[in-house]
Parts: sequence; C-alpha cells; structure tokens
Amino acid sequence: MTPMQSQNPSVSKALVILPLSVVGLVAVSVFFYLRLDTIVHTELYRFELEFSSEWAEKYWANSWLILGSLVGVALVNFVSAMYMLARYRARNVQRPWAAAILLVIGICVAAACVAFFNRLESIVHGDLYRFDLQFSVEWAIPYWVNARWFLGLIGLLLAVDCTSLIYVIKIWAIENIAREKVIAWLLLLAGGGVLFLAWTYGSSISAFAGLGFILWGLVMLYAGSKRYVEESMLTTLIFPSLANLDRLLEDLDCRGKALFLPPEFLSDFEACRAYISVEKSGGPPKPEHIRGKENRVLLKEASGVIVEPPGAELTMLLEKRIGTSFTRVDLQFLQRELPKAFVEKLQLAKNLQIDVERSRIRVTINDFSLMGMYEKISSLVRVYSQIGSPVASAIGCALAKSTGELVSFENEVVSQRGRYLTIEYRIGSALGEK
Amino acid sequence: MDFPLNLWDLSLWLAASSILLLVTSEVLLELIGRDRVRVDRMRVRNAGIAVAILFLVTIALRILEAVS
Repeated sequence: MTPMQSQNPSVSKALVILPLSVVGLVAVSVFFYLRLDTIVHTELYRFELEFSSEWAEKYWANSWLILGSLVGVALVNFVSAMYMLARYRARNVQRPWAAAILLVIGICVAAACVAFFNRLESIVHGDLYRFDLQFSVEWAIPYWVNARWFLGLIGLLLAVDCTSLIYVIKIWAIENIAREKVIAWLLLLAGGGVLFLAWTYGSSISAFAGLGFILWGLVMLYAGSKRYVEESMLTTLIFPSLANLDRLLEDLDCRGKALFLPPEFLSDFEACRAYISVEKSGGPPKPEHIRGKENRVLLKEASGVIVEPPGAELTMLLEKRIGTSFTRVDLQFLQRELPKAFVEKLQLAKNLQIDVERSRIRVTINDFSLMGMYEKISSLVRVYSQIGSPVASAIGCALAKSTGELVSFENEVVSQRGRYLTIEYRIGSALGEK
Repeated sequence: MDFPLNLWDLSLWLAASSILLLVTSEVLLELIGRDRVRVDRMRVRNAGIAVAILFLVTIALRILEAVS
C-alpha cells in the first residue's frame, strides 16, 4: 500500500474507479444514441420524410461529432484511470498533473458533445419538417425517451468526471496551490466553454462574456504568478539575527544611537554599515578610523561597534528596483523615487513621505504591509531603540548614501491603530547638538 | 458559422476591458496593508496598458480601412 493510499484510501480507489465508470456510462449512452439514430433513419421515412443530402450531410456531420466526442471522453477517462493506477503502483501520487488535465479535457469534450446533440436536435425538430416530415407521437415519444436517456447519461458522466477532478484537487490540497491560479484556470475554462457556445449559437452577448472570462483568467495567471509568503514568516526568519544583534549590543554595553555611514567612511562605496558608540552621547567617528575596517565589529580607534544594519539588503533591493545606486543621487531624488519604489514597485505601503526640516528628516509610512513584525521586534529594546527596524535601517542607509553625510537614527513610532509608521533621523552637522 | 463579434465590437470590448483593468490596479493600491492581496497591481496595470494598446491597434485598423 502506498503512502497516499494509506492516508486516504477512498480517494485513491475513486480516482481509478470513477474514470472507469465513465467509460461504462459512455458505452450505455452510445447504445441510446444509436437507438435514436435508428429512429431517424428508419421510422421517420414512414412519416413522409424525404431524403435529401441537404439535411443528411448536416445530420451526419453532427452525428459523427457526437460519436467522436463520446469515444474521446471514454479514451481520456480510460487513460486517466490507467495513469492513476500506474502512479499508485509507482508510489507517486503527489501531483497527478496528467490525470487533472485529462479529466478537464474529458469534461470539455462531454460538454461539446451536448452542444453537438443540441444542434442535431434542432435539425430533427426543425429542418426535417421542411422535407415533408409529419409529426406523430408514434416516432416522437421513442425519440424523446432515447434523447432524454442519452442526455441524462451525459449529465451523469459530467458529474462523475467533476467528482474525479475534486478528488484530484483533494490529493493536491496536501501541497500549496495558489488560489489565484485555480481561479485563473477556472475562468479560462469557463471562458473557453462560453465562447464555444457563443460561436455555436451566434450569440454576441455570450461571446463578450467568454472573452471577458478569458481575459481575466489570463490577467490572474499573469498578475498572480508571483510567490507570496505569509507576513509572519518574515518576522520568524529575521527575528533570531535581530535577537543576536540585540544581545551583542547588550553585552558590549553600547548605548549610542546608530549612525548610518556614508560612502566616505567605507572602502566599498556600495556597502551599508552603521556605527554604534559605547557612550550614549558619543560623538561621531572619523572616516579614517573606520575606512578599511568596516568588516570588523569592534574598533580600537573609536569606542563603538560597526554592524551591518538589518535593512542593508533592503537598501540594495530598493536600489535595484529604482535602477541606480543611492550614492549617485541626491536627497531630492530620494524624496521623489523612494515612495515610488516602496508603494508601486515593492507594494510595501500605501504611501511613504519624506519630510526634511533643516537637519531632521521624518519618514512617514502609511498602511505599511509588514506592520505585524513590530509586535515582536519592539521586544528587542536595544535594536528597536538604537538601530531601528529593518525598514528604518534600510531608509537610514539610503539617506546616508544619497546625502553623503552621517545619518543618526532617532526614533521609530508606530501609531496606536497601527496604520502609520514614523521614523526620525538627524543628519550631518546637527549630530553633535543635543 | 461566423464569429458573432466584428472588429468594431472587439474594439469596444478592448476599450472597456482596459479601463476596468486600470481601475482595478488602482483599487488594489487601496487594499495594500489592509488585506492580503496576492495580485501584483503593477502587472494588472501593465495588462491594462497592453489591452489599451490593442484597442489603439484596432482603431488604427479602422482608420486604414476607411482611408484605403
């Protein structure tokens, strides 16, 4: 017994039995269809029907399409059942792609068969009267009985195929299916079906609806194709490294606010580093004390530590999305482009505003999508009060790079309702002032 | 059996669809931070622009048809 069978035996059996039962249903429906066909080709001539290639060719074309689609449905379901059987034997039922595709094809072909049958009925109940056919319950009742049986069996067959598809999705539910993709494929299928019917019956309203379904399906497939993870995952992943940084600051008894270093202090201009002095009111370091030593933690020449801020990588990502290095731009450019990158490109917030007031810079973020992480990060007192959250340090690094001056992190406040995040920095010459 | 829509119908449909897509991309912006939106609004906007370009192509075809 395979792992899947032991986990859900009814599902595993159903995916072999149901498609095979569809093959049986197809056989019975072919029987009723042939009886109906016999009525048309024998009984109707007794009621004055005149043979003409005009109606016969149309009738035969639809008849062959019906029989062909029924054979197709049987074949597809048989292959699907054999495929699932082979997958169980190979102990691999995790992603039965082929079974799902085959079942969807089976459903579409069965639906097409119904459409072909409706066209055939319109020939019998419309066109044939133009060729002298006289209505009589003598032929009509057996015809209707067989037609109802045929359609009933096709309906049952569709229901069985849909049930099989649900079972396939049930197996799939073990893995993560993007709901957007499921919706997109359903829209595409529905659109294809509606468009086909519109084409068959010449309905422009249905054609509009079908095209709409297809367009929105394609848009969902295209726009929902990015991978997303839960917001809480981010906090879970970054929290241990932030906790380590918090403990390091605690053990080294660093009390100063983080100073984000401009390129002048670094041998690699593109790097992001922050200096945190031991003393709470420690002055800014000198570039020569840090340059070339930015990959160390402890400094001999200055009483402080050098750390890579938690948001260093976010700064790099923002540079990548904006398409330039922040070392090559000024503060005005940052005021203009950073909100675009945050809001439109990364979709991290509804709005971001950078206000510069002399040497103070205030960044206000409205409806920040990662607000949930603040609950946990705020428990890391040192990190939260001295260097800020990853977002605060990322913006701090961007400001230091673009202004070319030391930028001090001042504070970060989340509004009571959690909709606004305000981060304050001080810049350049004002760092010595109190 | 002809397709029930002509170029003029398709043109109208493309125009309406592009407006809907662009409006949707803007509405998605309102949802950022409030709900978990798993649709990339930039891509929805790009799709809207692409459909709008298709609409302009149909207009160009109509103009060419009228001129020639």
